[in-house]
Amino acid sequence: MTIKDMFGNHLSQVPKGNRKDIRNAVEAAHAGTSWASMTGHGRAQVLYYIAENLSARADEFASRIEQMTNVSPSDAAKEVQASIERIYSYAAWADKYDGQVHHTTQRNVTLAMPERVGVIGIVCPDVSPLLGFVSTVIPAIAMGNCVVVIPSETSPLSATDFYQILETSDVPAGCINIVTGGKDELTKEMAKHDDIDGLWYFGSAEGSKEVELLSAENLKRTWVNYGKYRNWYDRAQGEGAEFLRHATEIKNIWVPYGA
Amino acid sequence: MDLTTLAGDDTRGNVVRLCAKAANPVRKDLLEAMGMADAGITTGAVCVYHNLIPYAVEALKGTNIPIAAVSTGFPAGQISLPEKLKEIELSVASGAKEIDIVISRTLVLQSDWKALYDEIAACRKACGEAHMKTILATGEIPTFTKVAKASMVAMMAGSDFIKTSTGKESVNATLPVTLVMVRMIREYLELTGYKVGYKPAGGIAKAKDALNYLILMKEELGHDWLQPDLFRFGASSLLGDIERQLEHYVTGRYSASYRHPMA
Repeated sequence: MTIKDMFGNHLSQVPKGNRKDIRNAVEAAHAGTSWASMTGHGRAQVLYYIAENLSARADEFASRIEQMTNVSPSDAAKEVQASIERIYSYAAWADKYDGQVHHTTQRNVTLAMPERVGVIGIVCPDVSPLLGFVSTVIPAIAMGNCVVVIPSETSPLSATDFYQILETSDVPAGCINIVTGGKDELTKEMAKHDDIDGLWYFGSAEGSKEVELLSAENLKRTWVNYGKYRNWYDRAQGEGAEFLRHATEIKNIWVPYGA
Repeated sequence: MDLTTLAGDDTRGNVVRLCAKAANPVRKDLLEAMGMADAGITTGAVCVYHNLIPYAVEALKGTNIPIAAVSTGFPAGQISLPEKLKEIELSVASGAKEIDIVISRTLVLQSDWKALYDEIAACRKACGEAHMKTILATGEIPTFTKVAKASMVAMMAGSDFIKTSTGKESVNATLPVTLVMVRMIREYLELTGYKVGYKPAGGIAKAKDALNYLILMKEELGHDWLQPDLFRFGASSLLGDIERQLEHYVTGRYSASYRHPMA
């Protein structure tokens, strides 16, 4: 697939992923057991490292955003800066998103423990190619999930460039698997895949509906936006507990006690 | 397929579970969807360690699935010949219908073919009526020439099957080593008229890998070597992947392994 800038000039080629690529990515994600078994503290260290490495190459990533989306240099730099801050934010969250101890009607100690969902498919928003990617992928992996990611269809190069950051940041194999290509086609394949445990979709209203419909077969957990706009720069909309909640399952442990 | 569990943490529980899977290798709804519900599909055998045979006997009662036991100091084979023979006899007495023996790799490495022949022949005698599969442990044999010679010696000494590996070597069944061994099976057939079976084992975990082996068998030896009396896979997780592929075939959706009963 050819990626062009706003003036129609050739920027780069990216692979046009298909059904089989999604399948292989899911297999790789399931094999990513070393990430899944890492402690929250360990994951935090890796996330800090990602943020530092992105920070070191901020100019490069900004000029890529500029090329793809034709935003001003200062806006591009702003997007990279917001992305770096977001990663730091989730690095801090990684070992602090704790469970709870609940009151119940019986005599129990009742613990609610957040656990990873498993393998989550993420369909990134088309706007803000780097910030949209970071804001969705990082909370998912912060909670120990492995992810299969479809980056922005029109501007996927921030995501593919991001591989270089991941490679130098001690991210183990299988943790993040990026498949570029047609958003609608690849989303459908993820929704139909029974070995994906959760699916996040940021796109159109029709696309959201299809995700929910196709995911019903194996009751995979879906989170879709019904085509609604989200301001990724706004911390209230673009980060925080909402994301972490979708990245975790609560396991309740009831411990009865006697007199 | 010889559905296999050969681990230090094997217990009665997982052997019984394995046997249940061997008797019902594919989920019933999938078989029904393919019109195969009445085909009576089972695995070729169940393969366990010697001391777990009684559990398998109990669990497989009422089926025709034979029990294969790895006897003779599996996997290294570093015990004396009388001990090996005794273990075979005990396995057969416990109810094993098939015995997978391991050869002394030392003899192959030292090219002591006469001693290797005598060892395997003695094992053959100890097996009695039981089928004998001879494991060469090709991952520990340095050259194809030695693999070929060891294959020939194993067949001459009365093996019903020759088998690549224990699954415990660092390199297990591969297609190149398979080609060497099946060509020796063909040569032995031409020389003597006896058909010897082939069992690749270890590392064959995907349905696609299995297809590669089946194609190779068909191309090199013909249709007879696609049948369970002359061809077996030694595998533990392969069946799960085959089930996943069958579910994909039936539903058109990629399947999750946790949707199938464990082997």
